[in-house]
Amino acid sequence: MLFVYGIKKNRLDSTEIIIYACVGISYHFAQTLLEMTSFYTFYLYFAACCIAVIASSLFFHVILRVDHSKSVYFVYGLLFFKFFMYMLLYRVRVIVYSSDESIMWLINTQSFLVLLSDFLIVLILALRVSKWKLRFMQFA
Amino acid sequence: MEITFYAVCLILIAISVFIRTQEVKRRNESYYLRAYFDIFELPTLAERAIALEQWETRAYKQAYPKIHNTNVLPPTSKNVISIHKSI
Repeated sequence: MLFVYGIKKNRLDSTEIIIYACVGISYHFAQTLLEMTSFYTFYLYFAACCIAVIASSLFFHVILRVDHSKSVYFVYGLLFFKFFMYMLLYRVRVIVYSSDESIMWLINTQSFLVLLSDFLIVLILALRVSKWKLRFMQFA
Repeated sequence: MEITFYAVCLILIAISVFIRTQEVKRRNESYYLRAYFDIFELPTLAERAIALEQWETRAYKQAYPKIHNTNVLPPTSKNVISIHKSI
């Protein structure tokens, strides 16, 4: 909704349109293809989604010759962070293969950090779309 | 499998850092000045004329992006410079 509103009101640059289109498509496919995953490939699959967003965004930026804005690099950083968190949990689950009960604290912490980074990604989009600009934190 | 993921991640970090350095280099003012002197090393006059025209367009866009967009892009409510607005 925010993305469509931003395009309609002409408040998003082409670089931001590319990254948020990639994020949106990735989230959509992540939900539809989730049933194909198993106990071990669950977190690996989400890590692959993060990598796919960054790779596709970089690809379209290079092909369309669009310069990145600072906010897009910040989103890349958050996606890399998400990737490492997913890979960490994947490795721990491979070692502790019996059940999740002993690592619930880690799963909860990881979920919190991933959701926080997702929230920050949406917050950046909201800041770019809204008229309200933070003087001390110019992203573009 | 896992190592492949980390390798792809490292490659993407390297590509993004490389693209960032190229963009910073392109935004630097001396980049266009260096490109200007490179034009005169071209062999024929016709090639120099074409390269100079391309350089002027790029430099103009770099120096005055708002005016360049007003001249090049189709007029919208955002990029038209209106005297009524200023009054």
